[in-house]
Amino acid sequence: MDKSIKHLRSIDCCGYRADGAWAAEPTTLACLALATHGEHTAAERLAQQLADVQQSNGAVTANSESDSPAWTTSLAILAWLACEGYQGNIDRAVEWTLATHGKPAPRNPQIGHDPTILGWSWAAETHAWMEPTCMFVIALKAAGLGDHARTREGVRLVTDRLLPTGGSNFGSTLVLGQPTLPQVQSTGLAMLALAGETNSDPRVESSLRYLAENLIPTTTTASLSYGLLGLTAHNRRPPHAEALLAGAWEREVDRGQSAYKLALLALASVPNTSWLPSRTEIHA
Amino acid sequence: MNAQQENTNPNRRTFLAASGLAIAGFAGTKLIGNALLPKAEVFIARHQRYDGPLVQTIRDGLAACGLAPAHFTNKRVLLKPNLVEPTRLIPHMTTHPAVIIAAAEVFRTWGATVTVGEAPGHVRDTEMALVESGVSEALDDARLKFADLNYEEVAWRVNRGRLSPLKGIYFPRTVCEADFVVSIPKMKTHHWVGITCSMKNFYGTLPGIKYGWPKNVLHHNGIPETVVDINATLPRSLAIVDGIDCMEGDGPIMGSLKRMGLVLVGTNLPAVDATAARIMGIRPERVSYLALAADRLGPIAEARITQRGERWQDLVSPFQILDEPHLRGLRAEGGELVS
Repeated sequence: MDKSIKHLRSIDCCGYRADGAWAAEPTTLACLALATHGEHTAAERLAQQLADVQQSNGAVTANSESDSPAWTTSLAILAWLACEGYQGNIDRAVEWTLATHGKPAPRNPQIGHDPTILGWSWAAETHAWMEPTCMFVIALKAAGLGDHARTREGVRLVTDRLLPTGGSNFGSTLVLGQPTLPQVQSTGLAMLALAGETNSDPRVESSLRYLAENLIPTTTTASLSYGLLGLTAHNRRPPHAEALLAGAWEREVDRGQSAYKLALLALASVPNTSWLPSRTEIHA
Repeated sequence: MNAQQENTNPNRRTFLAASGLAIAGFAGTKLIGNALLPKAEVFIARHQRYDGPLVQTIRDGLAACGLAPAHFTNKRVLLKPNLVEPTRLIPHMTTHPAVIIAAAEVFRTWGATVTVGEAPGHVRDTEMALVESGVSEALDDARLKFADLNYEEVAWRVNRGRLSPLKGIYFPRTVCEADFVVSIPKMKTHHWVGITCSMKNFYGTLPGIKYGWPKNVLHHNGIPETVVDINATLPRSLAIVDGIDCMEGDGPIMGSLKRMGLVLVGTNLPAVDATAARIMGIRPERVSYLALAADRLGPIAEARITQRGERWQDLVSPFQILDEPHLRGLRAEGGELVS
């Protein structure tokens, strides 16, 4: 993993592919990975890139050349929290986050989830979905706003979108009475968002079991990383985690070392949740 | 009635005669109009297998639709399979790798530069979609380049369909740079719109990085309208349909396997999808996006589709459709409604 960090340290433009254009998500993840592994100067450089693209309304968009979508504001909050000197950026991003929500809809017997719960969407003026809501919940908790009403409602949405037998996907539970399929990446992120919650819903335990059973040597890099992050956050890190990560790392090196994937692997290699910034709870 | 009146007021016979002429004239005009409207060719091959001579089938299909190797020499061809939410447990959900590889071989041997690209609509981990569908291994073996359309740089294009409120559509770079975009869908039922085939498959040309997972921006702007808008705005398109192992019932994800053994090829996507619908026992004019596409992007009327290869009438095998109010009216004859 040291080689991953060394490589990340040398990258100035973090994209989804090794030769990809700059994108906010890989930049935030690389920033977090570098900060966690003690590479503060390199982390600060990436945090500053995010500050440079922050819009006047506080949002940070997924790529720099357009004004939307801005779900990546959540991840930018995490990156800035991991560095020093970005409180103003964090405040503006949090303000934007709390003023933003997915488009709710009335209950509909054709779908299983509760569309009235306010969460966060991928794009403006659309419905709230699982993964952006998880990202904003994690960011708000890290920013000390775990008790805020929006965070609590976000947690409610994440729980509501868990599948009846455990696991989650993009955020659809039942369609016309038929359960949908779980996915590892989404489930890992959901478990990360629900870590530390007092939640007696049996679907949480089922989801953790689903993750444990589905992290195997052929699990692809992003899914593996999120699966491990979710299990680790619930103190359920599998004993073969390091072997799985080593296999994924070798595959990524062969493919040309995407900053996005290397950063995820570097975060997933941390055997606890110390990579996740944490501010003292601010009671709203 | 005097003579003068007789001369100036048309009697019933002359009125009927005049009306008849008018009606004949109107009908004639319509007939001439129909004759002038463009037709489309759709090729169908039966008894197809994934381990069979698919390269020859696709080559025959393209030739039957008027395409020659010279059309593709030095062109950039993007193959767009359907990998919406792959899992090894449901292989009939996604385009079979053999069809993708066979199509690639045809275009490569005709001098094109071929890329396979997809923006899976329900999964952020595109690598997972490739591995679970078996496409990753097949692409490696065939040394084919894959473009992850969800995360590429994007470019904005004016919405040429103008049916939805979207003024423009963002497409990934690989899509914008392609000379031909070839839809390689799986022939499936769809629990919201009835059928998903070559036109709906093009939802997967739009980048998740702009539209999300799912691409909910499109849903909020109308599924039928955005299907047509996307098809109207893309570069020149073709369709090669994997109708070998299909999905019926609760498609496009959770439906059951239905073996058909078909490959459909065409240069006009509404015509291809209308033909697929007829084979599936679905009335194309009742599929919302096909009705919108008709006469905008191409014909869906049987009389305006020239069949090549097999006759669709001989291949009809009604697909099960969910017994839901919004789907019941789609059925032609036969077929089963399932819950």
